[in-house]
Amino acid sequence: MRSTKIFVSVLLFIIATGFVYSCDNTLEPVDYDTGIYSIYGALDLRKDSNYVRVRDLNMPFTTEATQEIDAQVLFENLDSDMQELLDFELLFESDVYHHNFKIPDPIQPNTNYQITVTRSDGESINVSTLTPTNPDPIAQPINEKCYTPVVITFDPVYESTIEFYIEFQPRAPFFRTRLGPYILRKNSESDPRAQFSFMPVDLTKMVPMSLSRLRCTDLMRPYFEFYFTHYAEGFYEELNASSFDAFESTQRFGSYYRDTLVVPVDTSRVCPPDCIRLKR
Amino acid sequence: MTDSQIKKNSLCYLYCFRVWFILALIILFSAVPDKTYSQDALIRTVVISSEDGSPMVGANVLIYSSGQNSELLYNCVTNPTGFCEIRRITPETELELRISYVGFSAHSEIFVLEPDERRTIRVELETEVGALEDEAVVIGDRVVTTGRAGVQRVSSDDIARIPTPGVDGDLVSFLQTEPGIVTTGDRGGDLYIRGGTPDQNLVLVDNLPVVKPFHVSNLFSAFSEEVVQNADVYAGGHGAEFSNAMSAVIDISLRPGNFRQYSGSGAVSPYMVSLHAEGPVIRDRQSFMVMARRSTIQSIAPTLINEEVPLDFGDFIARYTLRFDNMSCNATALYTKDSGEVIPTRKIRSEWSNTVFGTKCLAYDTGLKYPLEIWAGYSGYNNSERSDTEQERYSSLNQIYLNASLREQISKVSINYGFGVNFRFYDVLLSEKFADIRSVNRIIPIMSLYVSGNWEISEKFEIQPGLATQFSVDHAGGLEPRLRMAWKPDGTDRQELSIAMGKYVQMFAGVSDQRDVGAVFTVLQPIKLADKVPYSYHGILSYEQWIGRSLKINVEGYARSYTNIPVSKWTPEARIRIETANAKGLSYGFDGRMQVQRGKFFSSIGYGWSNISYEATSGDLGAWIEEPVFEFSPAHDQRHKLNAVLGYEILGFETNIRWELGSGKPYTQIFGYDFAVNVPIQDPDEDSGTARTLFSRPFGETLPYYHRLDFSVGREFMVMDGWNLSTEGGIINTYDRNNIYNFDINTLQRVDQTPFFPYLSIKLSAL
Repeated sequence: MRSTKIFVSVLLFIIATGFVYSCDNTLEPVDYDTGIYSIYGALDLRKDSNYVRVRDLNMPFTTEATQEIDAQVLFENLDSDMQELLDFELLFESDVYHHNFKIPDPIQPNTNYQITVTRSDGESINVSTLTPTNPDPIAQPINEKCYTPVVITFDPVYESTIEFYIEFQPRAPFFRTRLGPYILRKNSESDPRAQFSFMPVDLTKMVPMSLSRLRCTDLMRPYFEFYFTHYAEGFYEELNASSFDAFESTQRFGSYYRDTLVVPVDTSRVCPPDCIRLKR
Repeated sequence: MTDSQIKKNSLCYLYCFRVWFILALIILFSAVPDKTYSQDALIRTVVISSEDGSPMVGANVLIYSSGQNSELLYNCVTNPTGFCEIRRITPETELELRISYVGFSAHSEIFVLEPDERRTIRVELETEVGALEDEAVVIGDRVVTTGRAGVQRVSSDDIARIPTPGVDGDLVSFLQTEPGIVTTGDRGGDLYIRGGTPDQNLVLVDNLPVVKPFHVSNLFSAFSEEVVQNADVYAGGHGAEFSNAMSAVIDISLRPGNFRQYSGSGAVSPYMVSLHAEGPVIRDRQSFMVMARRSTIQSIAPTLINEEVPLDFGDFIARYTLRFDNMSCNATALYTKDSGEVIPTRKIRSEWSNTVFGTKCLAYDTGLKYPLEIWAGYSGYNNSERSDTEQERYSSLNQIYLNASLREQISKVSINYGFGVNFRFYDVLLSEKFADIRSVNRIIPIMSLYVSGNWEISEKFEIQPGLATQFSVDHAGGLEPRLRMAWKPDGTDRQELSIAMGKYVQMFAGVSDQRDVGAVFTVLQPIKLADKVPYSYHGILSYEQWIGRSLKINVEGYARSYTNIPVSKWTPEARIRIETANAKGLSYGFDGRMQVQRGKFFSSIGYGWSNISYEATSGDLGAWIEEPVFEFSPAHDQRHKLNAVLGYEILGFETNIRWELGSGKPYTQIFGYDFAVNVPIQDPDEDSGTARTLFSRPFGETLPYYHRLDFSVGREFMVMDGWNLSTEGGIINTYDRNNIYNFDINTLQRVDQTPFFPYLSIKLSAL
């Protein structure tokens, strides 16, 4: 009998506890405070229009969740006080919608631009870029012989970075050669120019498997092509960062442009020294 | 010669040197004549039940001086084969042998031994009419273990008390009621014991290792109450006999089949169906026992609870026992198969299977100075994850092993020692959407040696020092000292203070995606040559006290440190990578248990508090964590756990209740869902980018509390001569509480554990 009383008492206690602790079973799997939007965009100064991808980080990968986006995207030219609310175009891929906001006008060089994305509750983030200058690169002297140094000058560059490759076509059986990448930044704090100096013969010597024997006379076409990309300040470093930061990796915004410079050379033989060949 | 080759050669020399050194010790022990006690005799007893011829485990074997004022001189307790040995008996002296077991008539006989005689006595105990009440059952251990620190001895009666939606109880359901043992929920098949991960546990069935015998539904394992004779659960502090397990050991002994009568049963329940048969092949000499079970929940759940339960599992166990006059052997086979969508919304199916077979013999011939135990076998395990179209991940471990165990006696100290050779075949294949295919395929032989002494210094104080070592061609595990001590202040079992401590090395690692609460798939791989071997230190202090005849209280504190634990490196996207970083771990806590057995009433209440933390260099884990050294609580760090088990028999109905309240476990919030566009190489208006789920601070949040009440009522009916019908009705999750199991990180859909689940089970037995 006593055992029965103990059993019933404990049972009632357990059932009563059930009502006390059956509350608050909620779960908040998403950290709404840390991530708001991801922004991916690279403004190309050579394009008439550009797109910037904006994504609500709190929306899971479902068609329903991504159909709409709670975001107002403001594009500003901070130097001219121009402001424009951007419209988006939808891209449907991988069963989700992606929102690409269109900047309809060409981008000006050496100009501060900012994108601000605002949520309906007032939370916002912004990214900005100072577009690179757009100097015409000057190569001097041109059409000179193979052993004459050539200097390519970009003026001004300021804090931006230029990455470039050099291509040229030697005679058969050698293939078209691509050298690089080379990185170019301003000469010094006081000199905003970026300069690259080279001797054409040094480039021809770098043709793979040529044993450094090629000269300008071996060029199929009498010029060197410089394919360069001019990045906004900090943008090149951001793209090539070695460490990974989860938060920072969701904001990738900058500006750039690509262009080509052709440097012609005199491919006639230079003698000496080319006429003097050491006997092996 | 390269550095790795030099290191390998050095290890080989060390390997050979240690082998020869230990073998020399063994030969020395065996060669040294026991001159001091060469006149003493010994007696070996095998105790069996007259009812079915099965061995009596935990029978008390006592030797008294004869005469009016008889005094207890020697004693031992029979092991799972019904065997025990008493040495150093004074010869040419009249003595009285008494053997007793609860519920059986005691046996008594007078005997005199000749000098140097080794006598084996087989005793059959008759069932006694009228079972004794309020008396604890003594469970004999397969391995001599001093003190209760870290040890829980489980009988089939303990297992039967836990409500399960099958007619028979299950070992894993019982284990989950123990403080210090944590699961991820009602599925997954993983047990975390005092901070250790599942790959750090060693599960043995009749000495044969099984990697993962727990089913995808955590309500079941391969070990039902019907097949288990007993189980010893070492939540750390295990002796030198067990190696290659950093956390815990679960040592299960199966029942031999009935040596006298054929019997069988069939059971059906909403969760599974089972068939079992056993009987003599040669009466009193050879018996068999087989059991097969298959789940039915996947097809029944939609009708019963209006929910899909995409879990499918089955198991098969067989045991063949041979008993000779001076030897007993058994052959055991086990097969399990599990398959299930642990997180249904992901459409990823987790699968695993175990195939185990082996044999064990215990020889105690009078020609043998000491008993000899040998066992050998094969254990195969594989697990995989697959989508509808392809297998995405696969990992397997196959083992072939041979072990021997011997015993010596030096003065008052009994010495157990042994060796083992284990060839381990690892095979790993990871095939992922955005990664190269990586694989591991290796054979690693591991040799292990141990020596352990058991010394009863006085009737109040006993110590068990031990030393183990293991080495492979890649690594030397070093020496693993172990120590257990027990102090009984009043010289009886009513009160005991015990300590267990030691170093535990593991020669392989299991890696799973620890950021994902519902991660089931585990890569089992050898420790790389360039990496250090993981190990842990344990320290346990335990106090046990009986109050009266029916109340037992146990309080236990523990601390463990882990070193060189491999954890998977963090990536933005939740996926397995075979690259690992090494972490350190610390777990500590305490358990309290109170158990009452009074007449038909049983209750057990347990509370566990624990704290588990890992620490690693952030740069190793992933560069996106700011601190240079990152400390975190892993997903199995359940801070509080309160359990109660009640049982009561009234009017022939057996009522059982299991109640659990546990704090939520850590999980990692999602920081964001992103499609990363690689500008300026990719154009946002043309490329969708790379999908990635970004995690916030690892294990920075806690899941809600877990709370569950299970209830069952059962009764047996004799339907006709030799036929018994057992029925059980019950409810799992009586509160119908939405206990969370996981959430799908891609869709944010929540996956809850078993809802309100009523069941009715029926079992028909033929005797």
